[in-house]
Amino acid sequence: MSACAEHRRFLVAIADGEAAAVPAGTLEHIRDCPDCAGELDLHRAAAVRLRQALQLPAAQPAPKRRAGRAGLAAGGAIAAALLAAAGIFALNVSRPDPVLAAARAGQQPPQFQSSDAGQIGTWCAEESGRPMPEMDLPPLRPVGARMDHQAGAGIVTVYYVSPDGRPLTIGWLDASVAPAGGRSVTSRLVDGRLVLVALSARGTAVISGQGPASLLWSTAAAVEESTAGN
Amino acid sequence: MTGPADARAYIRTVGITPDAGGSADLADQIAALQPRLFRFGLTLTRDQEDAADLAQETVARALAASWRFTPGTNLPAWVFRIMRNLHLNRVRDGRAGPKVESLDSVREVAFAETIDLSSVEKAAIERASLAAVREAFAKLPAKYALPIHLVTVEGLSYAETAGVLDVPIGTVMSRIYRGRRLLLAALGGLA
Repeated sequence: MSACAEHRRFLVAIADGEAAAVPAGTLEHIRDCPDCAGELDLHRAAAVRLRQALQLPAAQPAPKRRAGRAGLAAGGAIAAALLAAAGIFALNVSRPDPVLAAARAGQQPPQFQSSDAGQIGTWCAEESGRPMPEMDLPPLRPVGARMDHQAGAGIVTVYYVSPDGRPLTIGWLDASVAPAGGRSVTSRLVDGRLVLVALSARGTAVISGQGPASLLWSTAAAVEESTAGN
Repeated sequence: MTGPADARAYIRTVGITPDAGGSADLADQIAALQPRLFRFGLTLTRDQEDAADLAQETVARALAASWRFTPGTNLPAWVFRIMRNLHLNRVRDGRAGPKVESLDSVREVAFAETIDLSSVEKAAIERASLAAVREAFAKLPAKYALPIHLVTVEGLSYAETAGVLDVPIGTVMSRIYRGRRLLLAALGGLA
């Protein structure tokens, strides 16, 4: 049994297909040792079961707000920090999230359908009661819009289709709604998907869609470009 | 307007996407890692919100630093390393909870290496419910759970895992060995 002890730690390497890292003497020992061979089988079975258990998709919650957590880190006394943490947690839970609402609004069907960017812009301005940015973002093709009032914000969602047929939405939030951070564009996950939040002179644009990330980034660039002169 | 700038041009103005040297393809590949980053984040933080938060920031950091990625090397391993370093920084800054280990290191190592697994049946492991496996895995100390996750779930080699965790390959093997033995003991009803 003492001979087994010096060989056993290599069992996982064999089970994981890293046999090149295993001394030849260990391979010989395991071949002739029923105890070690039995444990090798256990490691293999555990690896398979673990892979099955952990590869199941996991639901992703919305990330915490960074500004609140950074503020917490700067706190001094433990008691104060705990109180602050409790307050921030309550804030996170109760505060409406307009970005989340905008990203989810884009998953609803449009209320107004048109392929004319001008008509869509007029409809959006009338429904929202505020001036709207340029709707024409070639090569994206506008196909419709909807208006929602959620999470304390007026959300104007404009629907587009990319040249290869991928749907994409831009949710325009009130100009007063701006994500923290100071960057012109931030990324976040909503329901497991990448969403870009672009600040522009005409408000905050929440860009989401089924296309590749590069399509979202190029759209964010187009949004910035189209509103730069406003 | 002449049309939307492409992602590469956008990189130069925003500073969060890959800058010169990066590519839209690489950005897509990094973004596509999010579910795997979240899963690894769960093993790192043991908290769903922290994991989602960490995954998001990791993608942003990886996009911003993508010019440093060496083509032909393992992209997930590179991004996992960014995530692990980010997590360590958060722990140091007090922005992530301290790791709670169930046993002190000496007792833990001794227990992991000396426990007799001869009474554990392979069939019992194969029949263990996935919930029981996840629960047993969640109880493993992080130093064992992390290399097991990277090798077993993500399919990284021992060398790649050593690179992500910044430890020697021998340490990776030892930790996987002890962690798997603790897991087998738990699933076999010995712990």
